Amino acid sequence: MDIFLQILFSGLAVGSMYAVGAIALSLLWGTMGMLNLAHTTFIALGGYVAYFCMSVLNASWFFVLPLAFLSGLVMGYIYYHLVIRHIYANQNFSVNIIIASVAIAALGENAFLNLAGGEALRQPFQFTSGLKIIGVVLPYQTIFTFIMVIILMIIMALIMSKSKLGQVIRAVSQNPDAAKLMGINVQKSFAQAMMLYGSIAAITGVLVTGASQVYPSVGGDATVKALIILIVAGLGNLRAGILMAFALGFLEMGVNYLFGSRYGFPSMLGFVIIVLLFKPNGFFGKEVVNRV
Amino acid sequence: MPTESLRIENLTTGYGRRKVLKNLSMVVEEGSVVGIIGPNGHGKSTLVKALSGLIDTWEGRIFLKNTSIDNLPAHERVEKGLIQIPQGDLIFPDMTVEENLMLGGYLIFDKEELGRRLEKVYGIFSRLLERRKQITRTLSGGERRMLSIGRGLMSEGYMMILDEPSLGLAPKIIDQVYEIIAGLRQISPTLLVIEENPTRLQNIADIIYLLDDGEFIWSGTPSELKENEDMLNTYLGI
Repeated sequence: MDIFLQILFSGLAVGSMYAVGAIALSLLWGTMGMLNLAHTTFIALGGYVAYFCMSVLNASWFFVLPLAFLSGLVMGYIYYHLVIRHIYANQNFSVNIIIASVAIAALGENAFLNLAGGEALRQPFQFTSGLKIIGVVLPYQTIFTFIMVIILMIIMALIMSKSKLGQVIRAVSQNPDAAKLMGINVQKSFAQAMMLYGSIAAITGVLVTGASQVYPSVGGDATVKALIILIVAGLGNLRAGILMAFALGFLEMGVNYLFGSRYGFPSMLGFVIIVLLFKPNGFFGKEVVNRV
Repeated sequence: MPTESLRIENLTTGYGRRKVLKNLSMVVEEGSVVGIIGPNGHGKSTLVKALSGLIDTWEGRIFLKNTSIDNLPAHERVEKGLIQIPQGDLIFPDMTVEENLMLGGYLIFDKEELGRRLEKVYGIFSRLLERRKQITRTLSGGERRMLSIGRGLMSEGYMMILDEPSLGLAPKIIDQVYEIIAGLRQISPTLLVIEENPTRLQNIADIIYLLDDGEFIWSGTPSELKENEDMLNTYLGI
């Protein structure tokens, strides 16, 4: 029973982490077809904003999430106007943006290195204690992250399905030319999508670093895991991505506990490869039906 | 003197380095229906794209109601009331019929007005009402065309450009589509209709232009066109 709870709780912790990293990435990749490897920069940004707010300014924890939201929003706007806009105007956007976003990720990492130094800082926006259930501790941080995953997922789903912004983002992603013919300013809506992305990515950065520490390359791992999860779940399907994040979290932690910690990640990758062999569009990926 | 809705002066454009349209000039008067016919691959769709702003103008001018629009991006031309009803491939495939229609009214912020227009479109196309919750990639070709026209109607624009409304449709459906096009004039009186051959245009167009190899080589009324059937057959290969 102990081991079962251990696996359950740590799987929940890791799964929440994976899920939280995937939410914002899914918005860009699933809708705009943009694989943003500079996701790592936004995660680090969230972490450093939390650190700066509480440890440098000694401000209340209350300001952390709003501040992360704002800084991500601004960063998304700058990123759009400095980089994305120019690449989007040319052909081959979906490939070229991968290279450009790697460059931005490197630039971001070095910027943080110069501004804050290389050492890992304790990010104070976190819960330290936990809930004890039959001798096994379920950290409050895990519960908090889990709840945030659900909240962010609901907010994203509502924005995408109910708001005009969500409709426009979906329209532009499905057919940019048709969107222009509806009177939609495609550039403006892409900029708005980037601001939405940035704000959510920075908030997830606060959560990711809360469970570890904050350092310039802190978002790298979360970004890679989020990529894997979104591909194996089926691109553009956020709910499936979240489910898959927890499934993989449980798998990894289960293997870790039962067979030793060096087998966890490889077995997760093995599972991913097997899924993709049989379902190349992802586990929950729809086979696209086209009527011609 | 009648007002000019659209004036094209020496329009030249193309893709990359390939020139497709050469020195096109034409005028569409307010309240008239102008048809453009021509064989496939001779610049009809390019002209539509140049007018709606999906491709840039290389040389020449385009005026809408005497205001130059050739430097405006596509979405601003829509704001000025120039609406394009594209071929069936320019729908939003993973949205429902109703979501597609609502995007046609993207520039309308009055919700009640939007609702009224939606009802009007459903009044014309009962088929779309039946399928309002259906994802549009599963619609048939005829239904897509209806959706495309319905979506264009939502904007109640000043002038509409219809890009080959009969393309790929069964004759019976084409009849229906053209009945609807004839009715469009009540909402948007000025129409520019592009088709491969003139059969369907003869009943509704006031003037027909023949576009061949990127140039207008003939224009006249439908009855004049009938008198020149031989010429037409040569160009269209009928």
